[in-house]
Amino acid sequence: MKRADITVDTRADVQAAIELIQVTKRFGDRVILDNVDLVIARGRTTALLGPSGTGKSTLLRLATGLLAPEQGTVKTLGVDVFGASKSDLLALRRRMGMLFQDNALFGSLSVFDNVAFPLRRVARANEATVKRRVAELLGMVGLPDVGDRTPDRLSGGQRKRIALARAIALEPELVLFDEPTSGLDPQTSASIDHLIKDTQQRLGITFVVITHDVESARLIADDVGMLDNGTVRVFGSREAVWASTDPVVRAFLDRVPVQQ
Amino acid sequence: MPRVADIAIGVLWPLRVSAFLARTVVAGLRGPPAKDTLMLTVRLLLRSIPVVVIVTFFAGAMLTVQAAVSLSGFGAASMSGLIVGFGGVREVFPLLAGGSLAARTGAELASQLQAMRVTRQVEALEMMGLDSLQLLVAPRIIACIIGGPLCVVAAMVSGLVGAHIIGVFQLGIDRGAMWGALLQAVGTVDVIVGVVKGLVLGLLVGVVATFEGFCSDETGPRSVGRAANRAVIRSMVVVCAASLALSMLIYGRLVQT
Repeated sequence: MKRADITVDTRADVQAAIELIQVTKRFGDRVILDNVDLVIARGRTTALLGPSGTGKSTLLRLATGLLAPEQGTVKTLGVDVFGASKSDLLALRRRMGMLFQDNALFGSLSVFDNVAFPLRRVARANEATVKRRVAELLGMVGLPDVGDRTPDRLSGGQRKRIALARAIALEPELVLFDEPTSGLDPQTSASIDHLIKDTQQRLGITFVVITHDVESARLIADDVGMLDNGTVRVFGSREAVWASTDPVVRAFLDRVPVQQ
Repeated sequence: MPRVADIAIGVLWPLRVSAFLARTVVAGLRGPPAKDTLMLTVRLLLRSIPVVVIVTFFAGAMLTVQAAVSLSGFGAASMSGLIVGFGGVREVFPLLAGGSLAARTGAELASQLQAMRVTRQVEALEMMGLDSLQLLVAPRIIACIIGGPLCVVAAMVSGLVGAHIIGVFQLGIDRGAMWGALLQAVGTVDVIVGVVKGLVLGLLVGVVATFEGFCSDETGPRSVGRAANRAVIRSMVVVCAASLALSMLIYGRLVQT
């Protein structure tokens, strides 16, 4: 089992939103995740940190069944992702929301139709319900008046807010964020961080945030993990991880320049 | 020199496309979205029919010129309608309709799907618990199956209009003789065969184009152009091969030696 010695919390007693058991994932000869064990607790915000290329996004895709591991078991919301039938996997995904790094908004649809999309296509809600719920969601993300615009007429931060509104439209149990502040200016990043924190507190559901933004993780996360060289270098409460004396963890958190 | 890996990919390509079609049929049986399918069909017709009409108008006209030139040596220029009928209505016009569909709609479908793949819109759909084959691919293939025969009919009409204008008004062929010869060569059965060809060619263009856009592993903005390019080239080749196969199957047995 590849768990770093300095792991500060084994999470053995928590109710798992995502559980990785001895998971290995390779791309060609390159090992991205090497026999990884990880438990992410329900009802909290967990940030997974790490340098680029350490398998953070891969881990998210494994948890959603968008990628398959070479070895190991992945359980999301109690469902064995790779033992499930296609219909069970689709049903599992309806219990989740995902905010993509590039937002993945549908460019040909208006903001209203983007947020309404899962309500219409998945929940089959009637149009009155759709209108009420979309108005509520746009208000929640602080953009009540942009419904008739298309995504290309919004700023990066606004697109991120709309993507969050769409991700939580079906009231998921788990929301996954892939680099939510990537490419945003510091002030906009901070506003997105606050939005994520406020939304999690309001909804009380599980948020898993993949990021290499240390400040963002410190603001929004209850639990923090750090991936390094295909392993979970450290995992635990935010306070415990920030108190870590492990040189690799410290170098990352303190933004020590990498020796080329 | 082609690499062994490239040859293997080429050999496996028809198998991969067939497997993709089988998966799409299974997904499509759950009911593709009717409104999306209708909108895609209308869009396909609006974009492809003008190309089909222009290309086949000139093809019909050129076929008539060559028919008249070659038959005038035997004093039979008035029989040009025979060649337009046999060559144009039965073969060239449906082939050009398929080719135009591949060039106009095939490129568009492949680039649309590849762009959705690159910007993770396909993943976003799948993350909502929706089946992207059912929602994105099946409606596009159905639109091509509906649009294919309509393009072939438009090609036949436009090709004959081109033949008539050049043959009757420019080359001075007698209108009655031209159309009499044409109707000797072409009957209702040939129009029905053309429609069936349109169905098959539409299906092939739809499957190849959506496969090239949907199943590519490539990333980045350049992959969108490459997917469109592959879709056009491969669906053109498939359209030509399928046209020949259908002609041999339907008309080949009529050859008397």
